[in-house]
Amino acid sequence: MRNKGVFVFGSNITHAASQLDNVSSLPLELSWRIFSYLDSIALRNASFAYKKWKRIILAHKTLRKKLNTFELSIVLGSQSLVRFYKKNKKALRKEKDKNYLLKGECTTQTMKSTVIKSKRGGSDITVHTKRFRLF
Amino acid sequence: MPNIKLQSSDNEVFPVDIEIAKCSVTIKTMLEDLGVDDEEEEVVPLPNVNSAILKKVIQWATYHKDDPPLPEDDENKEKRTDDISSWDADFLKVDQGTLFELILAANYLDIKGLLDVTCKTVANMIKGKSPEEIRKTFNIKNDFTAAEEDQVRKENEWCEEK
Repeated sequence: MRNKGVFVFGSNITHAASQLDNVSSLPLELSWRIFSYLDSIALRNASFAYKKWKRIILAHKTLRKKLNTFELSIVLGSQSLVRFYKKNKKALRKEKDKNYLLKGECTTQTMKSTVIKSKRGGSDITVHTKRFRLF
Repeated sequence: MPNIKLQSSDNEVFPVDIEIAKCSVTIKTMLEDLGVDDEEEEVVPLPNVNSAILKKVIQWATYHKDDPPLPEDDENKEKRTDDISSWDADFLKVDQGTLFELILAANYLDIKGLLDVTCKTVANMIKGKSPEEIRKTFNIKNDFTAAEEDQVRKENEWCEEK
């Protein structure tokens, strides 16, 4: 998300903030940052608090993996069984209408690069702005 | 010590020690790569930050100006949220709106330390709470249907029996 030498400008998002809660009104990468501090239990509770949050969480690969692993370990009883399940997923019979592994996607909404000219002979800076949006 | 002038979105100008302003990677890069002269009375406009928030950010940066640089994020490591210093905890005893504006400002100005500590504070507001309590904390309307709620409750009961 934050690479070396890349200059990330925050966007002004106040226009949508009135209808949204504080967490979802942030740019997606910041919401993800907050959720990345949660342990599995808190992450699961957060996903049950608000549908929008669940979508935000499921759209991030690491967070989705964490949530799904936890969901599975609740269903299966332990973390080690999850590892077993994942290894032998094809061999296990699927329960009808129950897919334990939730999915979510997000898309890159805009990708802008602007070059700022150096005033006094230094090298120019390229500014990359990347915004994500939920499907 | 040389000063730099930071201008908030509502046009208030704050003279700040240049070393403190350089806490912000955004400002630091601007000063270094754009070749802004230290001697010159340069005014840096910050159109995304209002004066109340900028004042808080400067206060934070002044206190933390001698901090060692933070290590890079490790995606796979479990992140701690209980390591907020008491000064920071006191500093962040603000209303939720201000806290989230601080997150946006820290992101915009690229101040990693402030971004970390504000995000941790929000994470702590979620941790250890039931979905219902989380909704109350963040003033969220429940958008799950009764059937979905039932499903969650059932799963939770099952979880507790285990």
